[in-house]
Amino acid sequence: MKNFTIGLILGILVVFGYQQLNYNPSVNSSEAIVIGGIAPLTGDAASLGIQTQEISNMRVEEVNKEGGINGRNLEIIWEDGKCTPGEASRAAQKLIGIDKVSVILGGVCSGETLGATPITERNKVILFSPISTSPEVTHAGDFVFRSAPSDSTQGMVLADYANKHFKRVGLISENTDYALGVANVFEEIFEGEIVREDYLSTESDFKTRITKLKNEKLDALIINPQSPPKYEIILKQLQEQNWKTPFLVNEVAAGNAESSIKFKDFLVKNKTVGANFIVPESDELNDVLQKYEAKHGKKVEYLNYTGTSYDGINILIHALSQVENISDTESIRDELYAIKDFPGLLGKVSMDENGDVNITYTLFEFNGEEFIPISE
Amino acid sequence: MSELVAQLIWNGLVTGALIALVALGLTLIYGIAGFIQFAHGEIVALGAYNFMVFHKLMGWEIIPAVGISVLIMIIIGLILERFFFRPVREKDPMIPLVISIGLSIGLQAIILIFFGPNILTISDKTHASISIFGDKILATPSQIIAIISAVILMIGLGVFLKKSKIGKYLRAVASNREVAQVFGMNIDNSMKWIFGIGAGMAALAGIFLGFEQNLEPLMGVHISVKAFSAVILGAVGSIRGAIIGAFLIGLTESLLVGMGVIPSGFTSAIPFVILIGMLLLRPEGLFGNRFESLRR
Repeated sequence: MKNFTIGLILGILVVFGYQQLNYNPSVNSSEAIVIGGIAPLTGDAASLGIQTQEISNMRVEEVNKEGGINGRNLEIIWEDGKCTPGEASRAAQKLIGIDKVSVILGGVCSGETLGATPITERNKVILFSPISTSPEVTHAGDFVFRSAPSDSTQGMVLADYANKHFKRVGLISENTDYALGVANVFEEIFEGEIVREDYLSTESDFKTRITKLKNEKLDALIINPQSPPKYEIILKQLQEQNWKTPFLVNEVAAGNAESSIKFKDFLVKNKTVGANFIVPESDELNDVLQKYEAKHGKKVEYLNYTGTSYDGINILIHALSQVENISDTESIRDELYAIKDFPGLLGKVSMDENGDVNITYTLFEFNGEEFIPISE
Repeated sequence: MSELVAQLIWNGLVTGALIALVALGLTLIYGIAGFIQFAHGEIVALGAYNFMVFHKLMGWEIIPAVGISVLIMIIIGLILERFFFRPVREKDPMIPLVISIGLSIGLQAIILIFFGPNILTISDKTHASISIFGDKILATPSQIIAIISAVILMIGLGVFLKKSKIGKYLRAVASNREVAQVFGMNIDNSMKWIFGIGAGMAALAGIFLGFEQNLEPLMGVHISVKAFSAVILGAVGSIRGAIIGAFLIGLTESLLVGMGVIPSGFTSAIPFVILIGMLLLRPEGLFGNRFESLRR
């Protein structure tokens, strides 16, 4: 009886394992096209990841209702990249090795994208990030694309503004690929003196760093977090220590006014300027926002990333619709490089030879309710 | 004293007071039960989340919300002792240690299920800082209350252990459990007391920590790492050692980083450097052998 039971279990495992080995949804022409998705679904950056997931899934549902891609439905298998390179790398291995996808939408955090790249490039799998902005992504590989702009221009507009107004600034920056990308470009271009304080994502106590920076007689403070919760903790502790200089903030802060509104009097009093990219008013944008609100019962948290996420999934769908074989990633890659004046929420989007889009950052000022564009 | 040094010392004292509240529970449990309670950090976090539920979500005033949260955590501490640690009390100390690691992971999962992974705020109100010591230091009301409460609790605990009948029982049990049992002392009651006191102080630390740094599921882990270092620095099982160890870590972190002696990127490494250094140079800790404070 014992041998029979062991034999039965082994038999089930062999049959199930064989089926798994042959499970290859992305190449079966009669079934759905399955692509992977990597985003932070838990942790500090979860709000960024979940919004990206919701926008992408909403668009996929629409496309499927309209007949899918060349008659085939599209499906995304999401994995939690937890905003870290290691988790994103494991997620990419699972998506490629087990789910057999040839296209991955993601990562969201730059660290996720850069962590997944060695795996996707080796397997010639398309990695299309809708949000990652680190300058490192530009040269991450031939199969890596994104619909968000590079931070090289974000660091540049912040540094240009600082060059005009300040001589000595403090820079408090999270130690992640995204935030370091912005900080390093800023440091390179800013001509004045910088007192820099980097912190780990696991830290929540900034009192000592703030006391130290306060003693440095700074003209302004650049706040460069990876996620809104850390931005809020830093603002809380700055307010508790009566900080009194202007602030320059990155797009994570400027793209989500909700966090800033909690500290509106403090931020307006000190004058807060941030870098972000413009999502122009349009009927299509309003339509997307309304559909999102109707579906999820809430407004989008990040308008800027709504634009890049929506354009990203649309560009990807367009490229997939142009190829005969979904496994032919070289053809998909060529279609993506050929994107030119693609009508998107962010305007006419074109892809350059590095897989970067032609979107640039500009400056915004917080007026107590929202960040509004300013000309400098 | 310059404003910078004064503010850094204050910051260090606030951090030290919070570490001390957590470290006291750890050292008490080790002194009497004989193992390191790895789930102590989760009691810290649960205390903070409990307070958030009563104060922010249910609209209770601060003091009743603190009272009920601490009470709930004391009850949870007693439940953990009764159902997870008492059955294995006479077994190899490795068994309760492993159980506490399992409990730590389980309680983290419970926090994630009920409250989600995101950072939450303990209160919608932001409290303005006040100047103390001739404008040299900016302190929030919660920081002042945290330091005063920690000092009162530390003195109270010391007096309780030294003067009260139960305190004397606890010290006797810490000194030699078998002999105490022969003299008719109730070990079950001793365990209830230390798990209750430890959980109550951890909950209080969690609430103060929530006011300082907001809430996240792993908030207890970060502070309990520092508390472990404080316990080892002072001498495992020593009340006085845990308190001094906690303030030394808080002040060292604040002053070394704030004065620019070491780069701020190394802040998280400071407790580990102290811990490794202490284990290499003086493994018995600053205050000698085990249980000395509890015994005296």
